[in-house]
Amino acid sequence: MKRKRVVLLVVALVLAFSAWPGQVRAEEKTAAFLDLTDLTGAIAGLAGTASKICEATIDYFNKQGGIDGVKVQYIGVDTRYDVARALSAYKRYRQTPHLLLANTISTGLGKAIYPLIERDRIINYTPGDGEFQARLSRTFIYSTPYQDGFAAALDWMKEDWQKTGHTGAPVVGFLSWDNPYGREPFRGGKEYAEKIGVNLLEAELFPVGSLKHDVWLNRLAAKGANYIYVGGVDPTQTNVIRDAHALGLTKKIQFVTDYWGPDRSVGVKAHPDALENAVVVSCFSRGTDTLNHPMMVEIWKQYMKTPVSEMLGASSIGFSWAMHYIEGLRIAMKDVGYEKLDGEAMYQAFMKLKGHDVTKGATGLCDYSPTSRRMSRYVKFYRVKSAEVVPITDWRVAPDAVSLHKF
Amino acid sequence: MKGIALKTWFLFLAVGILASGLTGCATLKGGPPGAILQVTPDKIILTPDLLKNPVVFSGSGFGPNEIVVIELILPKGVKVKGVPEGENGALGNGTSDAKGNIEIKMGAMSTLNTLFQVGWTPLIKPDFKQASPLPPGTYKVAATGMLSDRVGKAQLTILPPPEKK
Repeated sequence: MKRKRVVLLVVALVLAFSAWPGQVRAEEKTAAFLDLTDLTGAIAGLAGTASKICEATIDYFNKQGGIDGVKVQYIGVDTRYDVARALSAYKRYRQTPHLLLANTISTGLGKAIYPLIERDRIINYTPGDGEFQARLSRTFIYSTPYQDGFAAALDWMKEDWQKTGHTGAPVVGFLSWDNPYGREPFRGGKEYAEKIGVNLLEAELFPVGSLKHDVWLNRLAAKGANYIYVGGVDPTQTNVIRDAHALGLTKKIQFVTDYWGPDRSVGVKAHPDALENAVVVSCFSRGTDTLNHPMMVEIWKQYMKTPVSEMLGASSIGFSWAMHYIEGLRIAMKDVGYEKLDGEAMYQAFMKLKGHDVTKGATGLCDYSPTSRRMSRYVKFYRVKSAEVVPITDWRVAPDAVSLHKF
Repeated sequence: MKGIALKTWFLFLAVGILASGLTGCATLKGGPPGAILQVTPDKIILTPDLLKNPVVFSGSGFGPNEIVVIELILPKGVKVKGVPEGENGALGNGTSDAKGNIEIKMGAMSTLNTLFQVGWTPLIKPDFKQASPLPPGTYKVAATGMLSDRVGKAQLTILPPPEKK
């Protein structure tokens, strides 16, 4: 009977105390990063790789004690590039304690989720749509906006044209996916081309998933393109340039791709000859730069279980996601402490990142501020040489093409 | 005396159970009113025709101009690629009108990823050779207003493919 009373008392106490977790149990301090990514779906090659490095970088810092004693809880969701799946996951995870940031790996997803970000007073990352710079909000572009990168490429093309003994400005073609991402560089980029006197041809846009690109390439060649800027996600750019090479066009047209262009471990590995001399503009380090980045190499060795020579270009994207979050968390902890750590504190912290070398050279200096949602103003140019991607410029400031367009 | 002591222990137990129940019991706090959801058609056969003629989710009672997400409640044992056990599959999303009405077509990505569970080629094309379609059965569907938290429920039945003659 006495034992029965003791058992009943213990049960009652356990049930009672379980209703007040924060006050009784010692909690590990955590802050959450919700990654609405694509691990097995349409863009897993890019987003999935980036997310693996993001998670690895977070774990790397957690193993060293976290940020001022706060461990980052990485929550990875395989949205398979489906907005509905991302929304479903957001609904599930939005009340995670100290959820500070949601990463969205497509512009469509970022726009769909935005009202919820506002309601929940957290922040989110979005890929490269300049509209988020034109209309400042809680969304932070995780790259240099696409139109700024395109404008920097137009500058490079004009310089290259004149360096190779030509006068005036070149004729530039544009070839990309027929979707909002593919059209984005023209929103500001077209205006910039006019400003600097480059003859920018009408964009040629092809369906996502196209296997061959001869039709569009031949049209641009017939219109006299000296340079062609190619968008998509590798291996799309690789396949475009492969097709151009087969048509003999790479002998007379210089191909320049955007940030998601030929990856040293994907397209360059598959078609090194076709891609020889292709140029890539990027706001993330690529090729040999990533192989020489001490922290990224250390993380790759510890977590990826493959040789460093296999490091994918998308690695620097995920590294950047994690490092900006970590730096923001560091500032937020200093400003408000753990008890008051929330999305608003992270938002305020992110706006103090301007000028910080957050990624130790894997990107240019950060530009987030009260007037900027650009991860950085800086881009770098690379060239495919002998099956490797090598830098041909230092970090340089990209033009502000966003402000030229009326959004 | 013994009776009083026993009653005291039972009182402790009751308080403990009540305390944990009150903190976890959402219905006691009162939830938002339910919404109405219809699925058309509510019986389908899994064929690629669903991409051209998608299922339509219509309803009312949601908040005005809010995001509404349509989910497939996965029964135990039914797996969908990329969806951990206990989470819901996705069928579509849209925005309600000013009166809280919805008419949302099942998204192409949801059709491909949730119903057919296709693979994806590096060129971002669905690979039906790697597909593992959902098994036939009747599934619960829920539409949730993301700001109002109002939920409408319905069912969707996946019929077995017709026998080949």
